[in-house]
Amino acid sequence: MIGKCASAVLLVAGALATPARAQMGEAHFGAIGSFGTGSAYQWGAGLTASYAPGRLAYMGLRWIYYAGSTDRRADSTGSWDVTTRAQLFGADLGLEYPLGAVELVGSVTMGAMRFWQGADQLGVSGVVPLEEVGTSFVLAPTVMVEFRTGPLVMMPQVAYYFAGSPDFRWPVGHDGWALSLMIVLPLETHRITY
Amino acid sequence: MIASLGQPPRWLWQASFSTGVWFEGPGSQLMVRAAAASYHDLIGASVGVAQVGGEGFIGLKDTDADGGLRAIFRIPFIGVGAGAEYDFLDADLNFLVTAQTPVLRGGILAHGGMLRLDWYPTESGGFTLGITVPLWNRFAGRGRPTSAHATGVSEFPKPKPYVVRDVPLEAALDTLRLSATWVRRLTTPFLDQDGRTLAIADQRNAEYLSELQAHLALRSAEAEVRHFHRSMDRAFALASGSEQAGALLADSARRILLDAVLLPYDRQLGRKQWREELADLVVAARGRFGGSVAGSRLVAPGRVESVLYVFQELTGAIETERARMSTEWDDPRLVWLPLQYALLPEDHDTQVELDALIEQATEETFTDGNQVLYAAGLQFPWELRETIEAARDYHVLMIHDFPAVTDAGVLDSASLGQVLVYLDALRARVGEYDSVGTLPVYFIFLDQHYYALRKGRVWMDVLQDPLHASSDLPNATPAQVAMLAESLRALRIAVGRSVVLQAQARQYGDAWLRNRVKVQVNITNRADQSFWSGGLFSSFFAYPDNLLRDHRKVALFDVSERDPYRGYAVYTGMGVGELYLGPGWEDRSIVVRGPVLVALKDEVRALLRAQGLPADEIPLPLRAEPTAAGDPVPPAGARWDQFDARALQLTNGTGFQSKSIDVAKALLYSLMPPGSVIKIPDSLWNSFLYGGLLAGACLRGATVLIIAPAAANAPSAGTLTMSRSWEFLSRLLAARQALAIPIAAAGGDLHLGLYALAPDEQGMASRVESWNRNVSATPFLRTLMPFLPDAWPDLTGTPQLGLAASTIAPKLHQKVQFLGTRSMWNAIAAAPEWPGFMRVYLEHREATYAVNAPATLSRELPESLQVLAAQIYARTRGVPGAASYALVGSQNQDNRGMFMDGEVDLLFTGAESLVPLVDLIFIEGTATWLTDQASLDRLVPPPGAYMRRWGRVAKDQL
Repeated sequence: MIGKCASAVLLVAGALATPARAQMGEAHFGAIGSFGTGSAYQWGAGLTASYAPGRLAYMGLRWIYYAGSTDRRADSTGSWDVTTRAQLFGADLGLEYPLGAVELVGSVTMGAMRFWQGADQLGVSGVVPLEEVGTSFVLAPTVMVEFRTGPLVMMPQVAYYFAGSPDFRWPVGHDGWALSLMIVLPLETHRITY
Repeated sequence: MIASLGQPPRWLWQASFSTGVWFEGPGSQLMVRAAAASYHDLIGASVGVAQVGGEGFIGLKDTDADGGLRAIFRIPFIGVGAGAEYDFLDADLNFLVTAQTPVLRGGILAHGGMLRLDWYPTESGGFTLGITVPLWNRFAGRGRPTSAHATGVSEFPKPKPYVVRDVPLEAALDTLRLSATWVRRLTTPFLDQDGRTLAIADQRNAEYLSELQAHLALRSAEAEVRHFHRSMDRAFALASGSEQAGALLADSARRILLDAVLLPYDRQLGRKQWREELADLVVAARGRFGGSVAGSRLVAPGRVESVLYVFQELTGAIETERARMSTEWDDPRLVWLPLQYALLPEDHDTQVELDALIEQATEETFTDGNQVLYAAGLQFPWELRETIEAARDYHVLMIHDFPAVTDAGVLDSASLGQVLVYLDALRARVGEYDSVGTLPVYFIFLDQHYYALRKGRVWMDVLQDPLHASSDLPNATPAQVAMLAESLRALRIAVGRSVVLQAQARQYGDAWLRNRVKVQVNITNRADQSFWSGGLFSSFFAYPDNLLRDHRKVALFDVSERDPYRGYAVYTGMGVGELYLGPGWEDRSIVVRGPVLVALKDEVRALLRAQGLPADEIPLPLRAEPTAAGDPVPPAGARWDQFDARALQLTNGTGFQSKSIDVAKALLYSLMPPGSVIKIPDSLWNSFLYGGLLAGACLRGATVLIIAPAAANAPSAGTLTMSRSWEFLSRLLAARQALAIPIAAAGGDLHLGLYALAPDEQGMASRVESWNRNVSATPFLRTLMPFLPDAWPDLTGTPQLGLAASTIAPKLHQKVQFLGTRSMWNAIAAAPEWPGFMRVYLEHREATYAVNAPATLSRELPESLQVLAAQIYARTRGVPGAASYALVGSQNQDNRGMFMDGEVDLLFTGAESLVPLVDLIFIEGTATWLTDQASLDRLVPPPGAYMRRWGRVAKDQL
C-alpha cells in the first residue's frame, strides 16, 4: 500500500513537473526540516512555498514548528521543568545565481517567531503548569544551495536567526544558527504579467 | 502663434492636498494639509531612478495652524521616496516615507493626478493620504493613450452553441482540428524554448524540431495547408450533403474567416489585448456565415444546423490554436494566426494578391507614382541638409539622436553642423521674407530619453530661441563658439533688416517674432509617472511608459495633400552626430517622393495629437488640406516618369498604439510563395516570432538569408542584447540542421550570416577584397545568384580623400529587407545589366564612404542605380507571379521594436525595390556564413547561465 502511494505521489510529482516550454520562473512547494542551535529551536519541520521569477530572484514563505527543548530550572519557588518551543512565520526575499549544476540563493528571512514556554514545578503536586507565549520579530540571513534530484529539488541552507527576546520568566536562547533542508516540487511558470 | 511641445521643464511643480492622522501622546490628531512642491531629476527623467525636491506645506493639526518644509528623495520608477520634514508647529524634524500612484493611466481627478501616501514611521506612525497634481505642465497625463490595450470588453452575449451528433462529420472535423495544429506549428515554429538549464532548453528545442521533422516526412508544409482545406471542404460537404455545396460553403467560410476573424485578430499583433480570445470576432463571423448560408439556398433546411456547426467547430479549432500559441509563446502579443487557415497557396502568389492582403491587414493603402532613391552612408546628412534648405512651407525632422557631446566628451561637431544648417536656412528664408511673404516652419521631434541621455538641451535651447540664444556652448572649442556666434549674428541681422518682420513684430510683439523665427522643438514621450502598464496593483510592480520610446528617423518637407510632389522625405536608420558618419557606421536611407508621403505627414500630426496637443493647436502646415475625391494628383514630372514605385507607409505607434509594421512583416514572411528569396540583415536580430515565421517560410520553399552583427560589429553590443542574439542564432542554426531535409525537399534554404568585418585598412577596397574572397569560398551564394561576377568590378579609381586606415570595426545598423518571388528572381537573374549595376553601386558606396567625401557626388549615382534597376526590372514585366518588396526604415528585428517603440518603415515595390537588392548582395558577400555552433560561438560568445536568464527576463526591452 505504501509503495503504491509513493508511486502515485511520484507520478503526480512527475506530471506536475512537466515542463512549460517558455519558462520564465519556477514555483516551489514542499516541506522543510530544520535544526536550530538556540534552545527554543532544536529540531523542527514545516512547510514552504516560494517563487523564483526568472530564476534570478527568490520570494518565499516558510512556516517551521520547532520542538524546542526542556531544561531543569530552579528559582526561589523551587525547581521547574521548562520547555520552550517556537514557530517561525517567515517571508524570504533573495537573489538566485547559477553555479554550475547548482543554484546559490542568498536571501533574508523576515517575519515573526512565536515562542511558547511551559513550566512544570517539580515535587509539588496540585500546581498548575505555567505557560507563556511571546512573539518577536525575526530576521535571518540565509544561504541556500539548490540542486535537483529527479522531479524534486533539494535546498540545504544555513541561516542565523536574529530574533527578539520573548521576555519569558526563564530566559531562552532565541538567537543562533539554523541548518535546514527544503525538499520541494518545482513547477515551471510563465511570466506573471507582460 | 505656432504651437509646439517645447522642451520638458527642468523642475516639475506640483500641488497636493491631503488629510491624515498624527498619533503622538494620548489620542490622535487630524491633519489637513496643502502643499506646493518642485522636483528635479538627477539622472535622465525617463530612467526615473533619482529625483530630489523640496516641498512646503500649510494646514491644520487638530485645531492648530500647521506648516513646514520637506526635502525628499524619490525613485519615480517605483513611485516611492523618503525624506525629512521640518514641522514648524512641533519644531521637530520628522522622517518621512512617501509613495504615489496614479491609480488610473493618465492620473486621477486631473491629468497627471496621483494618489499620494505620506507615512511618518519613526515619530508617530501617522500618515496622510491625498492627491498630487502637476502644475504648469500642460502635457502631463495627456501624452500617452489612456488604455494600454487594443481591445475592450465583449460586445456580444455568449452564443448558444450548435450541437450535432454525426460520427463521419466528427471524424472529418477531428482531421481538420489536427491539421489546424500542424498548419500553425509549421507556419510559426516556436524556437524560444527554455528550461532550468541551457542543455534542457536545447533538448526541448531538439524534441520540438524532431516532431516537426517527423511530421514533415509524412506531409510537407504546403501539403498540410492543402490537407487542411480539403478537410474543410469535406466537413462542409458532409454537413450539407453535397460535394458541390460543400466546396461553395467552404469558399464562403474562408472569405468570412479571413475578413472577420484572422485579419482583424492579426492586425493587433504586438499589442496587448484585454480579451485575447477570438470570441467576439468569432460570434460576428458566425453571424455573417449564418446569414450567407441562409441566403444562399445551397443547404437544405434540415442540414443548416450541421453546416453552421461545422463553421462553429472550424472557428473553435482556430481559437484552440490561438490559445495554444499564446501559451507556447508566453505572450499573446506574439500570436499570429496563420492566414493559411483561409488562404490556399494560389491565393497569395502574385504581386496583386499580396498587395491586397497587405492593404487589408494593415488598413493602409498602397499608392503609385512614387520615387524611391536609395542612399548609402553619408548621403543621409547631405540629404537632410538639402531638405532643410529646400523647405518653403514646413520641415519635419523626427530623430532619436541629436547629441551635444561625443563619447570623448567634446562638442559633437556633426550636430553643430546640423544646427548651423538650420540657422543658415532660417537666415536665408528671413532674407526672402519681405518679397515672398512666408517663412517655413521647422519642426524637430526628439524623444526625451535620447534627448536627456545625449544632452540635447544644449542644441534645442539654441534652435528654440535663436534670436536670444547664447553661443557659449559647453565643451566647445573657441572656433566652434565663433562659428555659432557668427551664424546667430547673421540671422539676427537678417531679422533686423526685414522690414515686414519688424513691422509685424511691432504689431504682434516680440513673442510672436521669437515664435516665428525659430525651430519648433518638440520633445516627445516625456517622463510621466502617471502612465504605466502591467502592474500587479495600480502602478506597483509595473513598468512605466517611459520605457517606450520613439525610434523613428525621418525628415519630411513641404509635402501636402494637394501637391505631394512639392517636397520629399528621407527615411533613415541614422541619427544626427559624428557617430553616424564614415565607414564605421553601416547604414542606409531612402529619399522618397510622391503621394505615399501624405500618410507620413498624417503621422506627424498624429504624433503631436498623441503627445497631448489639442487638434485646434496643430500647426497649419501640418493640418490635412481638404481635397475632393476627383482632384487630380499633380504629375510627378518628366524627370521621374520612368519610375513608378508602389509604396506603402507603415508605422508602429509608440507604446500601445497600432503596429502596422509588425503586421506587414508577419504577413510577408508567412505568405511569400514557395521559391521566394528573402534577405534580412539587421543590427538587432532577436525576435523569435520573425525568426519562426522565416523558418516556416523555408519549410514552404523560400530561401532566407539572415545576417546579424558579430559582437565586435554590433552597434548595441550589451551583454543581454548579445545573449538574446546568440540564443536566436543558435536556435535557427539548430532548426537549419534539424530541418535540412524537409527544407531542401520544399526547395527552400536557410542561411545565417554574421557581419564580422575587420576595420577597413584600405577603405572600400578592403570590403571589395573581402567580398571577392568570401564569395569564391561560399558556393551557395553563386548558386543562388548565378549573375554574380567572379570578382566585384574594379574600384573606380576615385581618390578617397584623406583616407586613412580605419581602426574601428564597422557597425551593421541598416534596416533594409528584400523579398522577391522565384519568378521575379529568375527573371532578373538573366539580366545583362548586373555588372554595370554593381559597378555603379560600388561607385556610390565609395562616394559616400569617407567623412570628407564631396557631397556633390551623391545625387547622380543613386539616380543611375534607379535607371539600371528599371532596366533589370523591365524583364519581370508580364512574368507570371513576379513580385518583389523592399522594406526600409527604423524598425529592428527585435521585440522592443515590435512591442514598445515608435517606428516608421516604407514598403515599396517596382524597379526601386531592386536597388536595395544590389546592396544586400554586397553585404552578403562580405558576411561570415555560419555552418555550425562553433562558428557562431567564435564571433558571438555564448552567454553564461546568469546573463542568459537576465536576457530572457528582459527580452521585451532588448
